[in-house]
Amino acid sequence: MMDLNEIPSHLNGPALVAGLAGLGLILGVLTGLFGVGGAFLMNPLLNAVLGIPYPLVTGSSLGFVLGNSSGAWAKHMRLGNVSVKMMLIMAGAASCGTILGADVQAHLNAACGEKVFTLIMHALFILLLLSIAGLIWRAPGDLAGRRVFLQRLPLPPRVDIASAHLSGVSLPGLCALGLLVGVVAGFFGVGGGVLFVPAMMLLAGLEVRLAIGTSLGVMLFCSLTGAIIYGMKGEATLWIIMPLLVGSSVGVQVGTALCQRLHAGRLRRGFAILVLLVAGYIGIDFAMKLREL
Amino acid sequence: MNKAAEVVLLIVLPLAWGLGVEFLFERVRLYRARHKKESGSK
Repeated sequence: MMDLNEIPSHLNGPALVAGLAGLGLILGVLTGLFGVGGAFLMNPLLNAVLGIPYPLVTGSSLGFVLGNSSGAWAKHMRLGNVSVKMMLIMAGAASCGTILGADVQAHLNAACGEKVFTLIMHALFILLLLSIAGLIWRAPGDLAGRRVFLQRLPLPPRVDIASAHLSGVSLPGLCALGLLVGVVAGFFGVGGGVLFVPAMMLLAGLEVRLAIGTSLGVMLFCSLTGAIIYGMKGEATLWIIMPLLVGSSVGVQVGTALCQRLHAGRLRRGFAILVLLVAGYIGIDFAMKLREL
Repeated sequence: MNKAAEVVLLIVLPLAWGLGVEFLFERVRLYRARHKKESGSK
């Protein structure tokens, strides 16, 4: 196993562990307040602030997502918020997507070299953060009432999802959505719930609770596949995963308690601004690294 | 430690942590709910 002092980072030893636990704590508070995993904020920061290379960040982040989503998924499963059939259909495609995403990342890294690859990842994360900030800024509309894209898609065979009260859903369409979730997870190392819960409501016609529970289940398979792939390459380490998870577990409790006092709905736009600030910080780091090139 | 064992640890530890914490907090929530109910009925 990679030793703590072998992790390429600006911090060393216990300082790195403390920094990761602190970051996990902040992410946990955000999870408790807004219900997002926060890996989309964490991954570029792990590279820009702590100097950990992106492949190691991606692999370790998938291990973190595995721990984070397993508990939340178990809770949603118990509450009956998971469409198991839809989850299993999408999970197969999503696992293939994760392998594809991880492969694309590895090839890009090998082809461009570490410095250019870091710049590309920074640029892609800035785009991802800007689109997420846009999604958060707008008020959440009632997507469930709209016509469902995957039922209209003229691609047979079709399946009925009784648990979600959906019939005639295009199976290739559902697999394509799962594949996309997996590619994003495998490439960026993020859960992507903030993007895919609205997508599952809009495209697959799931109501919000089912979309959250089912998305968590799909993510569990993605992160499991991703952790195995990156782990086999030595690009994931428990020295990063566990401090993040421990910090996050404490932070979630703080965030949940704050949520009841602060009315998180009102803080939504503040959160969008925070995402923009992180995008700005990554942008500055991008410019600095570009000058060094 | 060989590679396979490392990967198994990499999966099992985060999973155990995630599920364990969820289990623990669910127990605490149930205990609090039962305690509240009992003190309310007295």
